[in-house]
Order: sequence, then C-alpha cells, then structure tokens
Amino acid sequence: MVKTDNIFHTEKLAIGYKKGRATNILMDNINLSVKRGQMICLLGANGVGKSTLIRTLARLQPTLEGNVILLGKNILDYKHKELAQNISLVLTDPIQGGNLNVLELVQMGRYPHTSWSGQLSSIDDEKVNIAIQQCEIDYIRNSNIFEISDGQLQKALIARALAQDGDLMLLDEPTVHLDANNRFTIMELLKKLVEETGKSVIISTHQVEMALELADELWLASCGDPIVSGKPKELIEKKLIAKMFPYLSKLS
Amino acid sequence: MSLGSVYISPNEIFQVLFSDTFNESAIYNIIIHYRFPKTITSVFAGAALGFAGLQMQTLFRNPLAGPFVLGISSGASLGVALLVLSGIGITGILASWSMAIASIVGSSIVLLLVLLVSINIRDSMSLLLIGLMFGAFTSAIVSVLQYFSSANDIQNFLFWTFGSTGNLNWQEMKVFIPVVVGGMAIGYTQAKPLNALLLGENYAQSMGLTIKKVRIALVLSTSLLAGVVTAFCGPIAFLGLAVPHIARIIFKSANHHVLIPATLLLGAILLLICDIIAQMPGLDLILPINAITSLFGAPVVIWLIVKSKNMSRNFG
Repeated sequence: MVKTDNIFHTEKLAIGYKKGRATNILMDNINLSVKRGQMICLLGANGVGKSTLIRTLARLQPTLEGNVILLGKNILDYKHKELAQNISLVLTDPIQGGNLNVLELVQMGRYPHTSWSGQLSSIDDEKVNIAIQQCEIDYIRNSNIFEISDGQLQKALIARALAQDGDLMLLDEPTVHLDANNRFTIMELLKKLVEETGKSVIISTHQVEMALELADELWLASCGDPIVSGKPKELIEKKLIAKMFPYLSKLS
Repeated sequence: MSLGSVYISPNEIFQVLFSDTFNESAIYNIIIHYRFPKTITSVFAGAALGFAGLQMQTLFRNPLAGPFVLGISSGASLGVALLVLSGIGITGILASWSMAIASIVGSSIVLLLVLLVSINIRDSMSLLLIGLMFGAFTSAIVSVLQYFSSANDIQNFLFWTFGSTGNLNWQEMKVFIPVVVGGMAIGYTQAKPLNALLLGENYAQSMGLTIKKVRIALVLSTSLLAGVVTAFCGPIAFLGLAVPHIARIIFKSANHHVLIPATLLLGAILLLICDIIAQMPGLDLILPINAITSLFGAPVVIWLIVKSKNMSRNFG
C-alpha cells in the first residue's frame, strides 16, 4: 500500500462549542492530514478536546472555522449517506440495543449501502462476514451483545465500523473500559486491520506506549497549543513526548 | 363479536355478514351497527397504539416512552375538555364529530409545539421531558376548566376519559381507518432508521441517517396514530407502553422489520381481549376500557420490569 495518497485533511480548523453568542474554542488552527493506510493516534490529556475533534471530523458537530476535506471534497458538501459510506465511527456512547446480537450489530454497518428496506445483498453479507472474520468474533456472532464482555463488544463495534467500508475509520478511545490484555489486543487488531485493508484509522487514546510503538503518526494535542503531528520517532527526538508525558521517564 | 349482553353464535354472525337472511332483524342491527364496528375499531386502535409506543421507545431510547408521554393525549384531552366543559350543548351526530375534531386539533397543537422545540434540541431525552411538561401543563388547564364547569359537563368529559371502542359508527370509521393506515404507512417507512437508532443518535448519524428528518417522520406518525385513536376512543392507557415490551420478549428480536408487525398484531389482540373483558358476557353493563387496560396493563408492566431486572436492557 502506497502511503503517499492524501485522503483527508483539515484546513485551519477550529473546534469547540457555541452557546448563544459566546464561543468556547477548544482548539484552533488545526492543519492535519491523513494518508491512505495510515494508523494515527491522537494523544492528549482529558478535556483537551479529543472527542470533540473526532466528532467534528465526522460531522457530528459543526466546525467553528476552517474546513474538513475528504477525498478532495468538503465534508459539508457530502450527503449524509455519502459521508457514511466514507467515514465510519466507533464512539464511547453506551450501547443499549437490547435483544441485538453481534451479527445484527455488524450488519448495521451496511446501513448506508442498503435501500430504504434495509435488505442486505449478497455483497453486504460478504462484507459483514469478512469484517467478523477480521475482528475474530466469529465464535460469538450469535450472542446477545449484553452477554459478551466489554472487550468483545469493542471488537464487534470495530467490526461494524469495518463493515461500513469507508476509507477512514475514527475511533474515540476504543480501549477506555478495557483491561490491559484487551487494550493490547484491540490496538494490535487495529494495526492488523490497517495493514490488511489499507484503510486509514484515527484513534484517540491514552495508551502512549502502544501508540508510540504501533502508530504511523501521532497527533499530540495539548491545551492552548496547536496540535503537533509527526512520526513517533521524530516526536521522541524533539523531546515532545517527554514534555507531554513526564511520567513516562519516571517509569523507565 | 359473539360475546356481549346478547349472545350471538358465530354461525349467525357469518350469516349476517355474508348473506341476506337476517336483513333488518335485531341481530343484524346489533352486529352491523355495534359489534362489527367495535371489533374493527379495537383491532385498529390496538395496533395503532402499540406501533406508536414502539416508535417512541426506540426514538427516545427509553423503556417508559409511549405516545402519551409526548403530551399528545393530554393535548387531545385539552381539546375535548374545552369543548365539553365549555357547556356548548351540541347533541347527536355533531357531538361525536366535534369531539373528534377538538381532540385532533388539541393533539396537533401539542404536536406542533413539540416539533418546534425538537428543531432546536439535539437530544431526544430533553424532548421527552418537554413532552411530559406539556402533559402536566394541559392537565392543569383541564383541572381548572373542570373547577368552573357544571356537574353535567364534567360527567360527559369523564365518560370520554374512560375510553370506549364502541362509539364509532360507519361514518366515523371513514375518518378513523384512513388516518390510522396513513400513520402506519409513515411509520413503516422508518423501519430501517429505527434499527439504526438502536445504537443511539450519534451512531445513527454516522451511518448516514438524517436525524431531523427521521425524528419528524416518527413524531408525525405517532401523533397521527395516537391522536386519532384518542379522539375517537378516549385516552387508552398502557397499551402503547406495554405492547412493544411484550413483543420484544415474545419475538426476542430488536429488528423493527420483525417488531413492527409484531406490535401491530399484539396491540390488536390485546385491545380485543380487553374489550371482551370490558363487556363481560352475562353482564348488562359495559366497563370503561381504559380501566381494563390499566387494570391488566399495570401488573404486566411491573411483571416485565421485575422479570427482566434491568429494563434498559430490554428495550430497543
């Protein structure tokens, strides 16, 4: 997979919230780009605006300034369905779809590809099966989503996003409720998926060590400063990682 | 249909419906003008309320949502209260018509207010609360009206709130059935968005669903269904709330392509059963249907909550 193809970038993006006339800008002047087949980890302290950035990039909330460009076109110019065919999401929102099993959950990923009746074609079924295989959840495909563990549920949600089959997947803290083993498994899985499918993935996470090891690129978000992006090695050499995560040096 | 103050055998019913033998007899009159419309009304009203409840529970992701929490029935009550308690003495056929219209106008006004608010509000939980507030507001007005009304008017109004499926004649059916079918048709086109909404609004949007469009379609469908049923049959409690839960437990599915037909069927069956109980064979009187649905609906809901331990897991 050639990693030079730019599929997604932001131009002077400002994110935050508007309340009446007051605007609360969390981050501004964000100029980032994503290449095809890249795994990007977004690191930053709680409250710095990682989730807001993810939601803004997915058009779940409006930008304050600037543009988000996907495949050469502003995301605001996409129809809902069109955008969903290109960007898929894994969020931290609690799932409450009682009676839903894993297979049905993954099938929902095909939503933007089916007609109003929601009937799945053989292509849809195949994509769902592939996503289930790739996320290694075949053995629980008929389990109710409340019978499975948090780690399994996260894999199922990733499979759902994968079945949606966009070029870009955005994941908001996919490892947040998981134990150490599962955190590791999920990140490894994401890395494997990026390599196998050539999709680009943006993950917000607090797992600095794993991000340093697995990510093709890191986005460092800190309060007040613009986001810094770069290869993990470069950022370590520039001492930016040490500056942002002082606890790491104390550990080693 | 055969049960009631006068027992009529199934055989006779078929003869009345499909041949000319009993023309103009007493039995013919009972069946064509009372029992048959009543049965059809129960079937449609039950199906409509069940479906409306299902849509609301999924949209609001709340197991306690139903057509009534949106304030639609309160709006209808307000319309009827204004009419009945104002003491305008309309009698005969005009009375039932004006009652229906007042009720539909009342529920549409509340609906429009809720819709207006929903345009400016992102999350459905606030919408639910606003619906509840509208309900409280309108019932307060109804209480004030009652305070200033004559005993006779209050009695009329109370009879309406008891609910009945037996008040419709064929003329009224011509309004009732098309509106119910229309509301169901709108609701059915939303089966796929309803499925997506199971994961919450953020996920639904990320799957390409236009949340405002879907929300408007669902509120419109629900208010048509609940509004017209309330207008003609009075506020029938619990059915809209209980039927979707029963459907989920029986069919063990979250898929709305399964749940919609299931709620339609179960709603129709349940209201028919309540209706039969309401006009117990051998008894000369007809009990208020609203009391029956509450009498049986409340324990069913309590049983469901206890059985599933955690209600939030069981709703779609």
